[in-house]
Amino acid sequence: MPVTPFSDRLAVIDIIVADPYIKSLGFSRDKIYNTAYTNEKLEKDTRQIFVYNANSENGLTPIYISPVIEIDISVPVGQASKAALAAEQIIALLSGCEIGGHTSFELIAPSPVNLPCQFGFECIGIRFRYNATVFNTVKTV
Amino acid sequence: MAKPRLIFSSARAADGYRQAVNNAADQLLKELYDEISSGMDTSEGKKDLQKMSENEEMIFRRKVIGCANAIMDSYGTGSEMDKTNPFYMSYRHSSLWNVSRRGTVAIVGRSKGFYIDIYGKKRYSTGRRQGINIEDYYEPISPSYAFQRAEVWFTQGNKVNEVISRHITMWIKGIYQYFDYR
Repeated sequence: MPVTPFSDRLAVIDIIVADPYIKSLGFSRDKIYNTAYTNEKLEKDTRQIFVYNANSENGLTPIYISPVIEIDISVPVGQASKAALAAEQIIALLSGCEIGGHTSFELIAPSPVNLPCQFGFECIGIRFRYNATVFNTVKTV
Repeated sequence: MAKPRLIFSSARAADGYRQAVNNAADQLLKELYDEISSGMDTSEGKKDLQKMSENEEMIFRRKVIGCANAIMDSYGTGSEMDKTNPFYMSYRHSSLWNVSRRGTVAIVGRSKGFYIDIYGKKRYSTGRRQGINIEDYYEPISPSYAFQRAEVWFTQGNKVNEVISRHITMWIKGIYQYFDYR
């Protein structure tokens, strides 16, 4: 299936939001973003998840590429265990998962990994890659 | 007439091998550059990134160099500065450091006289605000962590091994071209 980053990210968010365990950890839908992590978006005492595209990787042949979706889990530093538990669950939910007709999601090392972030926060990053063919069709209005 | 023989050209094979490693290094450089660039918050920071390649007989060095704007983007400035920067102490002890910053990293006015700014330009300070916090005028930049995060993904994962393995595998698959039958 062609490269569809926006709908792929939305599908990932839908899976995360629908999970009762993630909800029980205190991650609500309005704090799960379809954008990259930035310091401006960090909120004090709030558990947040950022879903966005990292740079795609080249495929072994020119007919496909491997888009990479990054999921950053940010929590106040005193609640670091919540981020670790959420990371474990997200890996369980998404590893091997097929979204939008693409090949299955593959976890990329060193996920889950602690990422440098603003003082007072804990951030865990997870990356998944999958393959998508490059034959997108032109849409019309 | 002499019977034809199969000869392996080790010199050409070694050249091919070096080329494969060189290509792998170039790909890694491009990927690291893209990774850092995409993590930057400002266009000035992105523009201030440079790629550098140095090849010796058996050593292939690749560097992504961040000039002033890139470093300020990644590590922040003033009171928002990320002090885990490995070059933070050398910066503090360099001539670029404003010595009027006593017990703080906030942006403060300099003493009267000429000084060299972060871009290497000669500037003049009247000294009127020496030691006074001027972050209302020069807003501090919060760090994007572009360099730091790219380093995590590159050094702690399998990325380097994956890319080198891919190029070496291609070299091995093409090794027939280094045999001559004559």
